[in-house]
Amino acid sequence: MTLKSSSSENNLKKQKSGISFAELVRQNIRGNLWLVLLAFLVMLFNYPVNMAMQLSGVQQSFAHRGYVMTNDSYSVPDDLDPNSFTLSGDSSVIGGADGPTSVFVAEKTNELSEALTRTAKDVLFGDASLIMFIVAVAAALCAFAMFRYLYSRQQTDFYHSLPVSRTKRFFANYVSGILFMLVSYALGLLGAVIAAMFFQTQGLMLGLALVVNAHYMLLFLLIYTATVAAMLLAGSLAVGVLAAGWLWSAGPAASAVIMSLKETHFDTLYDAAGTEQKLQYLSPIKYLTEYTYYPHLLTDMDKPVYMKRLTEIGPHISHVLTAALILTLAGMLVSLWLFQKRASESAGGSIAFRPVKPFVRIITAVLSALTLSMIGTGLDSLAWTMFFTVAGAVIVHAVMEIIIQQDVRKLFDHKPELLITVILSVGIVLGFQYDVTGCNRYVPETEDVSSAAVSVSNMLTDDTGATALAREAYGSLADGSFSPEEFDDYSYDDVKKRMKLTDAESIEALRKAAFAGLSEWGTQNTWEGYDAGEQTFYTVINWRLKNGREDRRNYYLTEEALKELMDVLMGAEAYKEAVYPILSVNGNDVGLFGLQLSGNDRIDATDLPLIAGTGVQDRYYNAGANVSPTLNLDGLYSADIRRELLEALKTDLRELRYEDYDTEWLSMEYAERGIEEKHYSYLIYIPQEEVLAAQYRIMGNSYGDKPLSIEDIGGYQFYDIYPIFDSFTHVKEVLSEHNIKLN
Amino acid sequence: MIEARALTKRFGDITALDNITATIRDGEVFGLIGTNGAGKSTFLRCAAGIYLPDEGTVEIDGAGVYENVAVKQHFFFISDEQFFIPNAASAEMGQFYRYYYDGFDMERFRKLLKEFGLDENRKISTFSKGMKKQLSVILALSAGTRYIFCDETFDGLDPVMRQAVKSLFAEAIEERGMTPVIASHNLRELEDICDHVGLLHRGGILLSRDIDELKLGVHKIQCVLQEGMEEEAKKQLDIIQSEQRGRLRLYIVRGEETEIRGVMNSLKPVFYELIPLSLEEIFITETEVAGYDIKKLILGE
Repeated sequence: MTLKSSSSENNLKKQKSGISFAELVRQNIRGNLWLVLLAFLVMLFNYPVNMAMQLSGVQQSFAHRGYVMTNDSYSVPDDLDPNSFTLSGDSSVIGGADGPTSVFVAEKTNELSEALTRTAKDVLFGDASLIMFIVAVAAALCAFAMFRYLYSRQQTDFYHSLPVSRTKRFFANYVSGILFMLVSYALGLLGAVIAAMFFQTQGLMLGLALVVNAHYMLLFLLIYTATVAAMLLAGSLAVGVLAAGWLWSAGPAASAVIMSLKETHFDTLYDAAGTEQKLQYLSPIKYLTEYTYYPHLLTDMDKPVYMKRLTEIGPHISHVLTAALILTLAGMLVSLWLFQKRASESAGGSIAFRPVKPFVRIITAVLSALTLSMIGTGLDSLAWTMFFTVAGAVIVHAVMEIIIQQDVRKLFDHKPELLITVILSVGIVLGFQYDVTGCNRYVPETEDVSSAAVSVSNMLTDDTGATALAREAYGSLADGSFSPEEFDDYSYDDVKKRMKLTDAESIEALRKAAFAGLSEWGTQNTWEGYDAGEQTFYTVINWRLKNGREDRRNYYLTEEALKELMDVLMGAEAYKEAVYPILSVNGNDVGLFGLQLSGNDRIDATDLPLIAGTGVQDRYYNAGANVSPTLNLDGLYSADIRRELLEALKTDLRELRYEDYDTEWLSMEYAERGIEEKHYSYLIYIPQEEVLAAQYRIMGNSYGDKPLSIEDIGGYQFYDIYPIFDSFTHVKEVLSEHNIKLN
Repeated sequence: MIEARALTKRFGDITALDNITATIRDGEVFGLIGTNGAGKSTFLRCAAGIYLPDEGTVEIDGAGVYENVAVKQHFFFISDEQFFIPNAASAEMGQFYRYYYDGFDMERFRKLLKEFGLDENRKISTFSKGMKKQLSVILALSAGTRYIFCDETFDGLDPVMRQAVKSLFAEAIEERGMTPVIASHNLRELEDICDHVGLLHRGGILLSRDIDELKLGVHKIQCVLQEGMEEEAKKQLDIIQSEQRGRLRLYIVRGEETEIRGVMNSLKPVFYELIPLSLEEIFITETEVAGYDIKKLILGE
């Protein structure tokens, strides 16, 4: 073999930069056609096919026969011939001069159009459940598809020996993963819009649809980027999947563990959720779940109640999306750095970056140890608590060691680190057990308190909040935000939200009650008092501090402590206004009243006026009857009399004091305590908002014009109950003036 | 020219390459010999810019390799476990590489495929192991690069194919001064192709020599001497190794051929002949002198 004499080139001939970015992306797409097809199919079915199916279903439901059969209580024009009428989108009247009334047809056509539009909006941006799932799964799949080659030595040798820089390779793969989803998403949306137009939907709010789906793409980018980073940290597919799962769940898991520890050890905390909740934002999934609550509000944003809720949560959603954008950009840069630094030889290993290993081992083991410690705490045994803490730390640390080192024999390879993990876990658990931070015993100083709120279980505050709840559900008649279509996202009544006690006397009374609760209860067995024959009352105090923080505590107060507290609170106007929202009802908006009679009260039926056609007398209580007697006063009383009754009730409530406030639930063992059991009749108040909304439900699309009675409407969602205590002299006087005499 | 200076690469606690300094001149065929785990693949991967050295450098014509796209255009790496694009046919692989290497010659690629009897439209997943190796070599030669790094490429090829590949290499070397760097654990495989060999053992280079230089300096003599001439022979010849089977003696001696013949003629032996040494025998001799049992090192005995 002859040899060429070696050339003495010192300078490399400058070559072109090789493969272009676009060609790299094209190669990625060609190599992952399965993902392209999958994304396309999923978006095809989620958007245009789903849209067409749902809209044709809506149309079907408006076909005459089906409509009449399922809605036989709807009034249908007398001249309507069921066999000849068909509701179509063009509102044409079939049947000629003697055919169905055009008003009816027009009404139903309008209904159909609204239903179609609402359905289209739901598909485009309102119904978040399916798109949320698709976004999360797609992000993971795209990340795995684009970077899984790093786990194969063969492929790593192949790709990393080629003349292309790591930076270019990273961005080509990163962008390819995004394109898989983006293109299919855009095509799917376009298909859905075309389908919607085919069904002649109107007012689709396309701009809003684009904005909402752009937000979903942003959230896809966040989850995708985070998953890419997790994959770059790992050395094999199995560990990559675990790493992604770890990244998705570690923050929420840590938050849940801390919250559970607080719930377990800190008895006075009403709601254990605190600043540790922010740890959830370490997970990219949290941003998605935060956002998905929002779009369905947009489908009804023309309704005042929905707009109000949108206005309330809008700033939070803006923060979530801004944070998602910043984190995505930061995550992309971090991923690029990881890709550049990642050693090719880490293919097939467990974790590609050594410093990550102890971090993952320690965090996972500590969280597991803390979780397991609660088994021992549940057994009320310090010994078992310590056992489970140490066992959890050791076992999980060993398991992580095996996964990372991929060798069962190395389960105790880092003994000093294991020791630190155990000490840390035990320290945290003991810290909670013995309330080292004083969290459980915290009662704010008076000067630190901006306002406070309280609810006591036996004060029946749950029964008097319906007026406020109805306003929250439908909007207020007073400020013009009322909408009879219920806003189905209202929360349960929480009197503490609307109560703001700021006077010093009330604050001091609450502080005193808190200390009483601490001393009586402590952190041990809370049933000691009950076993000793002393009844305790569940009390929640909500402190709003001047530094902006809120702190909510719960206690079990003895009768004596409760009396001391309530003697002060029942004299505070702010307390009454919050507990009895009926105090703010305007007489013009008075609702309906009912009266439920106790066994002690009787009504002389012959004294009551008869109302023709109502059969009022039939509803009177008769001795010996088994049913709960309820008298619906709306049938007897005019609006003026109801206003009078309202004002009387308000007066009596304002004058009510704790010593007057007696309840059959206050004493649990009457005979033992020598207390005579008392029963009261009570007033049932249905807020006018609920009355109008109920009418709307029955009448459909109308309310207010045709007054209906309680009897006609049947069941209500929102109503208050007021026991007519002995001190309710004004209420009794009004009732008596109008022929109802109570004992 | 490829230069490795104090090249060191570790994987955890294992030092795969330990302070290696080597030069691979342009136009020569460099054979990298060593047992499994000697560091051959690691060296090639450092040279190919796949691994980043922990210490030291690998340079091609004075420029570092790692993350240097311009330098990477000058070599093609054939791994011991080749990877091909899933579901690709031979032609598609050609198209693939065409985008990376500016000098990729599709016409030559197709011609070589034909010569080797490989169908360009057949899926590579249906190829045998040997056919895949052939395809790798064809792709490498078609890329038109100055260097080819072959990691145990010849191992597993049948003798006919091996010869064909060697011819192609020779042609490329002749035409455009291509420099192959071939790693193998089998000296016999590389004997008639390499100009220069380096022996790696446990991450270090034991020796690195030109083949000609090795062969010129060592000879094997098979002879039967006159009675009493053995001592004289020992005095006059620089004997590295000797072996006796009855009256037949085998000497491995250092020195020029003409000089050795002169001495043998003066000893007036019953008969003698100079036998050419194989590369393996030269290695064995040289490394035994260095104190290593080369049989164990390269033959696995």
